[in-house]
Amino acid sequence: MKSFVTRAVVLLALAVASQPFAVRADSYALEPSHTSVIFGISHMGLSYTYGRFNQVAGNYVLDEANPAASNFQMTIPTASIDTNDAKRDDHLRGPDFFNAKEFPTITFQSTAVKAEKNDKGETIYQVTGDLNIHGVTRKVTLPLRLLKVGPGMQGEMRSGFLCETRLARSEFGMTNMIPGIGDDVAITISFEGVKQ
Amino acid sequence: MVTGADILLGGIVPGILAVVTLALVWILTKNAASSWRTAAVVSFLAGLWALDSQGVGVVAAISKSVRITEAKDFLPLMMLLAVVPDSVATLGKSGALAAWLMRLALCVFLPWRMLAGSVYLPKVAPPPNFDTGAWSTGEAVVWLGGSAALLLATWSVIRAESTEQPKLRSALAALVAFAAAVTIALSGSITTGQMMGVLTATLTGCALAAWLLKLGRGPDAAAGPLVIAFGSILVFSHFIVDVKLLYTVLLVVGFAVGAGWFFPGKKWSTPLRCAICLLAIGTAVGIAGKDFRAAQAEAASNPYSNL
Repeated sequence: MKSFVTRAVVLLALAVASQPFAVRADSYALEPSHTSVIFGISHMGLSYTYGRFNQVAGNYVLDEANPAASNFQMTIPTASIDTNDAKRDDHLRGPDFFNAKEFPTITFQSTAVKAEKNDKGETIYQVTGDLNIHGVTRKVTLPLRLLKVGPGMQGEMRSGFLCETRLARSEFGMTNMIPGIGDDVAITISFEGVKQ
Repeated sequence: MVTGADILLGGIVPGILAVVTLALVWILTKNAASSWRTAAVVSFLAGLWALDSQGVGVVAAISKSVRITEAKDFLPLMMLLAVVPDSVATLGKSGALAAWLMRLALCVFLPWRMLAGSVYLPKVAPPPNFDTGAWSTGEAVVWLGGSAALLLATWSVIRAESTEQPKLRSALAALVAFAAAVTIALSGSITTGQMMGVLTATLTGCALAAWLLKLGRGPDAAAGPLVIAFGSILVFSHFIVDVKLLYTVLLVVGFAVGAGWFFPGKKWSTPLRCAICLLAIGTAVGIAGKDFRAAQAEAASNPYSNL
């Protein structure tokens, strides 16, 4: 019996020691230089045009043991849109599309988080929250695939995610030039956070 | 990209509606001011909602004017409110005073309400390092006060002239609105240009009906709704679309001189009115067009602009 208890304690200690990374709620600040927000949209069915937002800020709390305690927040200045065409970017910033002067930011604030495993055994956080684009707030669920939790180049603790999803821009009051410019927008967000 | 549907819904529909409404109200009431005001409001709102209804339906388009999210959604409400002062003004001396106070209040309220929550007057402080260009208190007073003063002055000038050359003033008002629509579209927003296009159709329809029915009144009869519609779109265009201040001022000058009081009874009044109005709007459209072509040429000459 004593030997069993000793073994159990040793095993438990080993299990804890082998998990040096986040096992409880950790706060992270988004690292802008390793964060990308990219979108793709159909141009008259002929091609897809891709763009990005060059500025992003945000933070999140990651609790791997209790995903429901996690939360994510992100703010994107709308005017930082970049599709590699200055004139088009000006048009996209204007009231025909994002209306950046009236709605200077795109924001996301999570309200519920749950974790699940996909068929590859990867952890997917289904993050439900309020997404505000163009002054319209909609409840959306973003699938955030946890890529890694581990040390960065300087030994600081980091975590990183990838999210691929689709949105209908018309649901956010951006109805101009549909269907010439597609309603369906493919979104890819990948970000790293540095543990605070 | 302006489609055939845009021209039908934002041009032909409000134009025809203006003619029909003005004629109907005139036949029923024989009141020129009521005819102009009703036709202006009904056709402008119908045109806006018809344009907005594309893809979302009429109910959704109208409900946008109730569940307001964008500054331009305030236009219908502003236009309806603008009917009140000129109606109240007919109720004797106290009515005239109340009307001026209402006009003042509306002219102060309009630019503030349209820009509240925008980058100029943010409701929430932006995140650190995000430069949004919020106004200081002094800047806000200058811009909002200046806009209010310009709106009130234009309103005063338009309503001050009720007998002199109503046909010419109606035609010039429609022409200025058309020039404004082109200038705004060239400056970066087709949808905002289309809104001014609806006002052009409204003014054209009203002018045509008033001419056919020999009403003897021009845009002064609907000064409130017309000035507020024109002013709201220009405030939005300058601050949100980034239409240059020079173009905005030229268009306001063109509208005030073309449609309003301008030395009635003088022999030189008509040619000078036309010359100033056409020069102002011609300059605005001309420079906006030149800027547009220059920007297009720059983009076309840059081999790296769209790799």
